[in-house]
Amino acid sequence: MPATVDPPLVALDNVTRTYGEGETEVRALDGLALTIDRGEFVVLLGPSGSGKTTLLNVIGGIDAATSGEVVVDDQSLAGLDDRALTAFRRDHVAFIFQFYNLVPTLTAVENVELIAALNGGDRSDAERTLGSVGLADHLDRFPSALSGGQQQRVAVARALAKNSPLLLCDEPTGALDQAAGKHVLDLLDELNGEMRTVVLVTHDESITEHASRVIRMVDGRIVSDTNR
Amino acid sequence: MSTSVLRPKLRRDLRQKRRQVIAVAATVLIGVGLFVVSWDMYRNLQRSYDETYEQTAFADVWAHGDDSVASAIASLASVDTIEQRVSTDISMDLGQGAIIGRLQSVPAGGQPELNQLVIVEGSYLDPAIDNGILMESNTADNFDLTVGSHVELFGPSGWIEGEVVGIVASPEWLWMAPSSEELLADPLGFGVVFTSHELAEPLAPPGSNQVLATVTDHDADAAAEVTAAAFGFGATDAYDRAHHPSDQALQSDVEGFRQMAVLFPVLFLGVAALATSVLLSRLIQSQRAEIGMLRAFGFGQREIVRHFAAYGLVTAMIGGIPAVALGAVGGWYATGAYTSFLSIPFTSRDLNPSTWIIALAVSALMGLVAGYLPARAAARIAPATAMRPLGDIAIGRHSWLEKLLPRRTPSWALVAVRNIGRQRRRSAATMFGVVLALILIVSAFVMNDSINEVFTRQFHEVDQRDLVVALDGNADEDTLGALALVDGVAAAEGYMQAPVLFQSEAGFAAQQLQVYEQGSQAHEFASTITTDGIVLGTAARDDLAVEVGDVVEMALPGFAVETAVVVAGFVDEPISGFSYLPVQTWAELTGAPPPMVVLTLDSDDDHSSVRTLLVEHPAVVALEDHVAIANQAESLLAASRFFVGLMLAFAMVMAVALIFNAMTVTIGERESEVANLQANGVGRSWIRRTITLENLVTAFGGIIPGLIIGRILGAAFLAQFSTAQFRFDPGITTMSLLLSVALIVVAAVMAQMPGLRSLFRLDLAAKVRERGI
Ligand SMILES: Nc1ncnc2c1ncn2[C@@H]1O[C@H](COP(=O)(O)OP(=O)(O)OP(=O)(O)O)[C@@H](O)[C@H]1O
Ligand SMILES: [Mg+2]
Repeated sequence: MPATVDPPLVALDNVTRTYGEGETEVRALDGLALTIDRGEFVVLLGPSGSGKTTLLNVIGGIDAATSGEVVVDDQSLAGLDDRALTAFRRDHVAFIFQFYNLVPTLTAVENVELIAALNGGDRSDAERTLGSVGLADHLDRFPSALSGGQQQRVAVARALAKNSPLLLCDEPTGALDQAAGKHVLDLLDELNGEMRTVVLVTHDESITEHASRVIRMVDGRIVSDTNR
Repeated sequence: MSTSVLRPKLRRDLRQKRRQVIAVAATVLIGVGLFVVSWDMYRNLQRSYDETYEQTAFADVWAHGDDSVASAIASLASVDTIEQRVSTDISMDLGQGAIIGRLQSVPAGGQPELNQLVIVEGSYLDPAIDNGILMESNTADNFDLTVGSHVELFGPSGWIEGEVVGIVASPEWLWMAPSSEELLADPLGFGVVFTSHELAEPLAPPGSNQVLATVTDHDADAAAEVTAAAFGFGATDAYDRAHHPSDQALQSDVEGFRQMAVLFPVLFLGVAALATSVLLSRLIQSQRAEIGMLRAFGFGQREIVRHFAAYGLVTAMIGGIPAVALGAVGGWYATGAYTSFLSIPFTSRDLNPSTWIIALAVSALMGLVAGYLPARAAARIAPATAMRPLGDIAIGRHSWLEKLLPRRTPSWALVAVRNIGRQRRRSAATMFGVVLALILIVSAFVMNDSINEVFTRQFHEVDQRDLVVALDGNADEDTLGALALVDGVAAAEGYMQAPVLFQSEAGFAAQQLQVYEQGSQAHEFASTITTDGIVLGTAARDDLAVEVGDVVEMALPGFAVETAVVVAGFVDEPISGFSYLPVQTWAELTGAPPPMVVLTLDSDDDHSSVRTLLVEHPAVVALEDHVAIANQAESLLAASRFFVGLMLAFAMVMAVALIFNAMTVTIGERESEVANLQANGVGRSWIRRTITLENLVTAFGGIIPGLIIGRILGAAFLAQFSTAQFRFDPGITTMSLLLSVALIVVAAVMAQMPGLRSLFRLDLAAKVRERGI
């Protein structure tokens, strides 16, 4: 266990997230507590509907906890208004989604540049990042002309281009075959090596090999949390 | 910064939706283009008139009266300058037979102080040339007169000859209207001649002296007060600039352009805004996940709003910029054509950059406002929800409309009705757009029908005069008998038209008196004329505040008649400034039968041959061709029909553009739904029927309010062209109402065709494989 004096990068205390009211109320997160240190590679496992995506969204500041404390990179997210949350996301987190969510009317390089520009990057940064994920030859292709694996690599490049300390990945390999999935995971490993923190949601047990820590969730709670 | 990276996205998205973008842009183009044209025309015309009036020292007040009236007017504090002259109608022969024309006098030695003449050709009067005259330029054109032409003027001592020394434009004759009651003249039946005071005075009947006055700063209220005071001083006729026949006609045109400059952009930009927001709402809906992604990565709400509002702005500008260019060129040429048609001596035809700036600003504002609402909704999408794989269209539900359907309604009809409730806002936008299109369509029909109605009523029902002749003498039995025998003449009756002044306790009314035989063929009276008294038009009734049985003072300035008459009845005619007496009363008042004859012809077609026979008749000194005037009215009607047709065409473009956008969106989002239906064997006709019905029911939702609002606004628009003397009763025929509905239905059916065609060309395999609904 790495003994560190640094405060954790992510600290959740008694976090609850409910959807709906009364009869139809769903507790997606149920009194959840969790700390994640810098440089960890956390894999989140759990059955469908257990609250993995919700947890990721709460940490990333695109969904708000109904109650409880959420502190990321020394910033408490509770009660922040939209403007402050936007600034938080801009500076602290990057996402990789299962369905890539590329802008179909922008080329690969434009998709990356779009996000790089948020943190002062430009087109040459975007080109370099795409090169680093092995897409130097595909800069000007539209997403519709890329394979699923290639699209996901563009999404990884997009997240990379942001240079943010925390990378939140929701089933990044869910739509990919084994080889393409491995390529993406290797990239994430590399990033993690550069002391970036990765939180990755998956259904795929084999991915735990890449993890430094495995968390299992059921019904909005953590049922096991093991370091490897 | 980062939003500039989204620019290629904007460009490509718009290119992908180019047909819808073009539909919006076309609507903007028409609306803004018409704005620029009509606003430029309004400004340029108004300035041309102002400039002309300024340069020629156009009077503020006109009053017929003698020296005592002149000095009383001159003594009023607000009056700056006065001038006296002769202004009267006399018989004249300008080379096309004798007509009744206007004689106005000017100083022999130099320009008058007021209503100065602009020399177009030749020179001003030269005291050295005996009987030199100046010919008004429109008259010179109509009668083909040039410097050196000879004309004849009729006076008490017979015909005298005048020589044209100059062709002149006058601020009083920009529009050739003999009087407020007669805004239309037969081009070959009326003319204006200027002579020296010395030449005019012996030709003019008593009561021809006219006083012109200007008031300080041309203040309209002061002019109206001077006019009212003039009657008190004994004037037999007085009006201010606002009631000057020519200026009145011109101002109602100018006002028309100003109204159009407001009406057109409001309607077209309203429709463009609806079409834009329909287009954008759908675009944003289909990009929910991307928007969620952008937000997750740290794009602020403001940047999202800016990005999507830019779609509205760019789309508006695609229409707005060419509209300004085309409108500026169009306005330039239209003003030029218009001013030269009216031969306005001082035209001010500027390029008006301020108009372009207003036009661009208004287009931009439309685009931003139309883009803003959907864009704001986009920015408020919660990123976490936006990225969940959700179906992006509302699900079906039972609607109240459905309850109106019979029990065994076929499934395609049921689906159509439910679909309307599925996207309520879009259905509402379509309905609202139909309302706007109908406003334009119905206004156009109201204008057309009302103008038709008023012209038909005035020129074919009320006024049945074919020809009027002035006699050298009176309309006694022998003369009437002789004229009745002329080939083609059906009836010849004693007749007269002359200025008249009425006075009651409430005020004065200076008008035109017409004298007919009782039971005349030449006029259809709503209230029969009898020897019991006078029949008044509605204008006099209002000015004098009298009822049937009241007694009013009546003066005929040309005939030294001043008497009290009983109001025997009223007529409500489109031209409300005429009053009527029978021939017998005229004879009793003046001591002689009237000096004019009205003729009705066997057929209007041979009016010109009868006309030729009559001008050669020894008893005839002037002829007025009312068939020609009615034809003149007819040609103005044709111009107005052209304008109405144009409005209808524009309205169709507008309706088609909006419904096209709404339908394309609706059909687009049902692609996979329809593909699934087709894959399962549902036929095209089922799909076509469903979509057509949905479309038509939506359009019909806008029809009733559209008809009502259009009727009201059309009437309001038309009211601008009504004057005290010439009144439109706004109305619309059932036929036009049905046609309006038919046009909207045609627009709706046309607008859905491209969408349907693309639907039937779908790649079914690709569509049914797509994720989501
Ligand atoms: N916007 C919402 N409204 C209502 N319920 C919601 C909403 N979002 C999530 N839920 C519910 O919250 C619970 C947790 O959902 P979440 O998406 O976090 O699950 P998950 O663990 O990511 O599942 P999966 O592995 O299938 O992606 C589920 O029961 C889900 O139905
Ligand atoms: Mg999930």
